[in-house]
Amino acid sequence: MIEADELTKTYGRRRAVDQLTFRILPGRVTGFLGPNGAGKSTAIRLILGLDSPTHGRVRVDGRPYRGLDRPLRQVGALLDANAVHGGRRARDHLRWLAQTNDIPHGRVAEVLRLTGLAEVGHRRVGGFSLGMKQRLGIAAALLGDPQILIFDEPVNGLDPDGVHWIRGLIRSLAAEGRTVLISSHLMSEMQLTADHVLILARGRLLSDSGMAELVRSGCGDVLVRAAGDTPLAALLTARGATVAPEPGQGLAVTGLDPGEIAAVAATHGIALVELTPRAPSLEEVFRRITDPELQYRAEPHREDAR
Amino acid sequence: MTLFPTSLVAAEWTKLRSVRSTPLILAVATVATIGIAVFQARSTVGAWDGWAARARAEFDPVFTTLTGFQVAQLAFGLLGILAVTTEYGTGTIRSTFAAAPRRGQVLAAKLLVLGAVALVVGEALAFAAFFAGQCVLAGKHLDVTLGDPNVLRAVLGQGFYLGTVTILGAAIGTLLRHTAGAIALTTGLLFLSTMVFKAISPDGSTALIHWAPAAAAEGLTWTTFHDPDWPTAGFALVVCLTYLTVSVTAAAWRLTHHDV
Repeated sequence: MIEADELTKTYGRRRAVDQLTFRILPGRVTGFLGPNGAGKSTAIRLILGLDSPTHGRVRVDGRPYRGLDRPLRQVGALLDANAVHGGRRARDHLRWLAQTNDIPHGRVAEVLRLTGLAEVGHRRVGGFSLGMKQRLGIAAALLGDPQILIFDEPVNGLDPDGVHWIRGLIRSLAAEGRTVLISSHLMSEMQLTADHVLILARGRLLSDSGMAELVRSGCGDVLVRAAGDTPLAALLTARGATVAPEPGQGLAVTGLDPGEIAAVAATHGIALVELTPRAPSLEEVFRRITDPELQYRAEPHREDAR
Repeated sequence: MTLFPTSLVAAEWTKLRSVRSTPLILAVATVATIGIAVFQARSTVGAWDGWAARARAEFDPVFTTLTGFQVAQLAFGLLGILAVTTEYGTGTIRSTFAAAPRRGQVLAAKLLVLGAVALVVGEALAFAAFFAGQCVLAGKHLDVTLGDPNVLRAVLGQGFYLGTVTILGAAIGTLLRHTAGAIALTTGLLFLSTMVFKAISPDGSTALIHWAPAAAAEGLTWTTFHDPDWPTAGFALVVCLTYLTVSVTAAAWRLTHHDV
């Protein structure tokens, strides 16, 4: 479990992270979602004790990170895959990391195997592709078999196979009951991996909610395609939906869920070719969250406070 | 409870020996010190008969064989600098402190490993260069032995000075976190400070000049001829220890009080 209370970090006059309070719980994948510069990486550096907070605090399993005895056995982190000395062999990089936390040497070969790097462990990291470095960073994170894993932008630079592999790994780590925190600026990526999402913008926490809730909150839309010319758009509008045309005779429908749309189509004998619920883009989620009226509705206490 | 010593020392040792720059730097230092000792001794032996009385009086048979250590200083300083700055340059420093958040202990382990390597190799080079040089000087019976006055102190002092320079480089690297900047400052301190201190000292005063690292090196390694610009061996030791204490303290403060 990672607990942050009013965590704030100021660089000069810029607040990179502003009054963050959150809990990251075990057994699920939690995502930091936000555009570049939202404070995701800063928050992660604060969790790991690399930067000191200007105000507030963050604890890992009830203790400040710098107070952990063998931190790699509790927390594994991938910050920047390129942050390795290119002249060092992959297994030597893992070896010194293992030594700092008294992790048995045999574990180095194990994590190399686990990340598909067994064949290249003897090679110098400078010759690795970004994808291989990403795997090495993940191997380093897994070294101490920690209960908490933090991956900053884990799919960056990976090829489709690599992306598929890392998603599976992240899901399985959470399924084993571990605490997994990932960061991304891609809503679609979050939707595929995260159970719970913390949305950050300009250092502030805008939303702390389950992924399903966030998608269901109405800011996504449904792509509908009917066979041939049909009055579907008019029918849906009549039911209160907002309908916008999409290329290829598609309709982007908001305000009705796929079941309701299917029911309307069935009632009028319209055959549907496609019915796809689509995740809102990050921009849409932001728009919704930052919309003053919606925010007002989401925080009923503010009325009482006035 | 404390994780310290052995695990962090082992990790720093792995880091140091697993990069190519370490053997490369030490190889350059080895070739330079022993090669220059032999060549310098040979040219002395060849020219000795033509030397004026004054030059003969100022001839120091040990000092002569240690000329190559000017190059070795640069190499050892670089060894110390790179051990730290490549961590900042590559970003490895974040992995280091995520794995070992007690930064003072990391610095202590790193300096211990660097200091031990520099001292062992430095002393080995000092003795090797000394014996190689004396072998050649023996051709004109100009050689001395370790039993002669000041000789053992000079040879040991040369190795110790290389250890000092290595730690100084690592401390400056920790302060500046940047390879080029650290090289500039370390080189300037080692090779230019005598000139600068001399320029700003009142005429005839050696008080400040004696605090230049290069003067301390001369103070540690002279045997038969002593220039007034050089401090005594005892004072030179104090100068070295002062530079070590001040630079390491500043490095520790920088490391524990600033984000990485």
